Amino acid sequence: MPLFILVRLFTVLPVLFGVSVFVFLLVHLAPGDVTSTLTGPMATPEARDAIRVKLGLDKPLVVQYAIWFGHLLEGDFGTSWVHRRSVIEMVLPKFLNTAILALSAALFAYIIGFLAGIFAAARRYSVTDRVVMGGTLVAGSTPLYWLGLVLVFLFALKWRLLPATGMVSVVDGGGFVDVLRHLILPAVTSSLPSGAIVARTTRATMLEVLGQNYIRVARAKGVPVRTILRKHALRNALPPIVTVAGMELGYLLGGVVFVEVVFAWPGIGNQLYASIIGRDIPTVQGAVLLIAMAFVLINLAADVLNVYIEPRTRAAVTGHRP
Amino acid sequence: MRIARRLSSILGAAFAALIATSITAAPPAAAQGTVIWGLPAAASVLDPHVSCGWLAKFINYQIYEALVEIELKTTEAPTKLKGQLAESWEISDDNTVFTFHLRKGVKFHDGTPFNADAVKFNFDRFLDPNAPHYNETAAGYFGFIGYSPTEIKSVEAVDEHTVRVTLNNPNNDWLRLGMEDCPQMYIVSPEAIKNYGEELALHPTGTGPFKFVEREPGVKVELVRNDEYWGEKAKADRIIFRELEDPATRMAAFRAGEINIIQDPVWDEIEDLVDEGYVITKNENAPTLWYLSLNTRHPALKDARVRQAINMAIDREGIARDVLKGYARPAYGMLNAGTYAHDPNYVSYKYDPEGAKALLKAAGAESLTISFELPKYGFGELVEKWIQRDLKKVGIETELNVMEWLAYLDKWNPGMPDDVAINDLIWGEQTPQWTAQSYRCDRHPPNGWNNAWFCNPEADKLFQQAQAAADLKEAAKLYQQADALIMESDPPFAPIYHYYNPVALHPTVKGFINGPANWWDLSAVYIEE
Repeated sequence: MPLFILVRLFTVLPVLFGVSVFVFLLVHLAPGDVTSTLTGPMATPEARDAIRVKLGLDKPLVVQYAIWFGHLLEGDFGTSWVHRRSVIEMVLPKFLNTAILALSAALFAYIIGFLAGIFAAARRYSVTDRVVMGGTLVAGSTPLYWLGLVLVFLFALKWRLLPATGMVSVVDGGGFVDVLRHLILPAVTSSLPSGAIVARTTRATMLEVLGQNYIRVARAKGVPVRTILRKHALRNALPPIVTVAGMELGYLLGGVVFVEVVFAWPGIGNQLYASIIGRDIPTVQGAVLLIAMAFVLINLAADVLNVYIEPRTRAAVTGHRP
Repeated sequence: MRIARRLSSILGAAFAALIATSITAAPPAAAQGTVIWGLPAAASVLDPHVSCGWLAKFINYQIYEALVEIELKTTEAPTKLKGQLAESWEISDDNTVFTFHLRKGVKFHDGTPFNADAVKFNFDRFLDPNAPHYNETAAGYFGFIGYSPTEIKSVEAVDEHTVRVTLNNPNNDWLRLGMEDCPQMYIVSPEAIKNYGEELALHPTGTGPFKFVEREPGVKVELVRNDEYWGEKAKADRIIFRELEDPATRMAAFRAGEINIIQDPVWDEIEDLVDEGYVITKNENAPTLWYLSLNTRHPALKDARVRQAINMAIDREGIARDVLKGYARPAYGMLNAGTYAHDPNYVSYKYDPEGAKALLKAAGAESLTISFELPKYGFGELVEKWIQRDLKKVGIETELNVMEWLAYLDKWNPGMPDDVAINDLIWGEQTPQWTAQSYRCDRHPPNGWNNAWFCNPEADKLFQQAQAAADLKEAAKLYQQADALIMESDPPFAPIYHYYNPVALHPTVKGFINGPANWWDLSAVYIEE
C-alpha cells in the first residue's frame, strides 16, 4: 500500500510541475507593464527600467522561470509587489481561512447531499424523489453571490442573528464561537452546489447498484430493504461518491471566491481576486500554486481512500484477495 | 439506513448547536471609542514617499505629519494651511525660498526626536542619489510634482529647528503640491527608514495623532491613539479601516453595525439610508472633478468642433440629479472646487444637443462610431452609460471599453492611441497647478499625463505666469484665463461633475467633519454609545 501511495505521489509531481509552468506563464503573458504596479503611475522610464533589472524581468523567460522555481523549492514564494511582504507569510494564513470555510462547506454538503441522494434513490421515481432532485437542480443553479446577499439580508440585517461580514469580529474578536458565528452563512452558501452534485451522484450510483443482480437475489431472498441498502448497496456505491466528494472539496478550495467577496471572508480567493486586480504577480502565483497543490493532494487522498473502500482495487494494489 | 439516520441525527444536533450559539451569543459590542471605517478598496502601501492614492493618503494622514498641511477640521474652501511639524514658515517674496521653523519637543512614534536633520533625511530619500537610503521609486513619484533636483536647488538644515528649501524657479503653490496623495510629503522617522528600508510600509512610523498597530492585507488596518502626541490628543481609542471592495458587502456591513462610517455609499441607496436614520455628510467644496479626456489625435476628434459638440451633447444637470442623486453638481471647467482658482459661475458649454448636431454637421461628422475607455469604479459605470446615451442622441455611437483600474492606468499613462477617442478620470487637487502640471505641451507622455495630446503654447504661457505670480488672486485670474482659452477654443476635455464626497455615519459617530479634501481628519471623531 505505501508503495501505491508513493507511485501516485510521483505521478502528481509532473502535474504540479505543469501547473507551475502554467502559473508562471499565465501572468507573464498577461498584457500591460508590470513595473507600473511597482513604480507607480508617475515613474520615469528610467525608474521602471531600473526596477525591471532589479527584479530580473529583463532576463529571458526560461531563466526567470528557473530562478523562480529554484526559490519555490526553497519555500520562497517571493515578495508581494503590492504589500511588500513575504508571499508565503501572507498567503498561507489566508489559505487556512479558506480551508476552514471550504471544509465546513464540504462537510455540510456531504451530509446533506449524501442523505438526500440515498433518500431519493430508495424512493426512486416517486414524488419525493422528484422533489428532492428538483431541489438539487435549484440548489445547484442558484447564483452564490445572490444567495449570499439574500442570506445576509435575512440573517444579519432583518433578524440580526448572525454577522454579515468577516471571519471574526473586528473589535475584540476571535475564539471558537466568534468564528463559528461568522462561518455559518458563508459555509451554507458555498455548500449548496457541491451538496447538489453529491446528492445527484449518490442517487445515480445507488440506483445503478440497486439494479445489479445480486441485489435482486437479496430481495428475492426476502432481505429487508434497509439491510440491502446498508449492507449491499451503500458500500459498493461509495467509490464514485468519494471521488466526486474529493473533487468538490478541491473546487471549494479554489472556488469560494464569490462567497469570500460577499462575506468579506479573509480567504485565499478574496486575496487572489485583489492580487489579480492589483497585478501583484508573486502573490497571484503563490495563491494559485497553493490552490492547485491542495486540489491535486485532495484528489490523491480520495484515490487512496477509494482503494481502501473498494475491495477489488485494494486487491489489485496489495496483491491480496479480498 | 442506520448510517443515514445516524448522520441525520448528527447533522440535526450540529445545526441546532450552531443556531443556538448564534442566538445565545449576542453580537460583540464595539469597544468604546473604536471607530471602524469601511474603505471602498484596498489602500496602497503605507510608506508615504512611494504611495499613491486617496485611500493610502487618508490612512497616512492619521499616522504621519507634514511640515505644513491643509486644515481639514472645517468644511470651508479654498483650503487653509496649518503648521504641523513647522510652527511657522516664511516664503521669500519671489516664491523661491521656503524657511520652516520646526516644532520643538516632538517625537516620532519610535521615540526618536524630530528635528531639522530628520527633515533633510526625508528629502534626501528622493533628491540625493548618493544617499544610502535613496529610493528610485520615491524619486520617480516626487519628480512629477516638482519635488525633484531640477526644481529644488537645495534643502538645508540651518540649525536644529530650522530648515530652508530653495527652488530653482519661483512657485507660489509649491507647498500645496506636496500635500497631495501621489506621493505624500510626510516626515517619516529616519530610524524607521534606516531599519526597515523597503519594508517601511509594514512599519509606518510618523509623529501623528494615531500610531500604527497592524495591517492584515485585504482585511484591515488598525491604528491606536498616540497618547504622547504633541498636540490635542485624538478622541477615539482606536481607528480600524476595513477594506470592503464589494459595494453590497460594504453596505451590508454598515447596516449590520460592523462598521460605523462608509465613504461613497451606493448612490441609489442614500435616500434609504437617510430614512433608516443614518447621517449623510457631504462637502460641496471637495476638490473632486470627474472629466473626460478627448483625444486630439483621433481622426474624427482632430477637428475641435467635434470636441465642442461632445461637450454640448452631455446633459450634466441630468447626471448630477438622476445618477448622483444630488451629491454632485455639473462641471463646465477644469478648475476643480476647493481651490482659490475655482469659479463656480463659469460655464463653457451649456447642454445643447441641437447645437451639437449642427457643429457635427459642419465638421462632416454626422454619424460617428468612437471608442471610449473607462475604469471600473464599482458604481456600474452609470455615468458613462448616460454619456453614451446622450452622444447617441446627436449621432455619435460610443463603444464602452471597461478595464480594471491598474490595466486602465497602463493604458491611460502612455496617452491615448489614435483609435481611442475618449477616456475618463476622477481627479482634482488643492492647487490648480495640477492642470498646469498635466496639460502643458511638454507634458505629453512619457513626460507627463497630457494623455489627450493637447498643446496650446498660449495656455502654457498663462500657466507659467500663474505659477510665478506673487499674488494668489492674480494667479487665480491667470488660471481662469488659461482654462477658458483651452475649453472654448480647442477643448481636450469634457468636465462633467464636481463630486461632493458623501460619507455615511452611524448616529453614534460624533465629531466628524467632511473636510474639503478626498481624505479626512479623524482625530476629533469618536463613538458615543
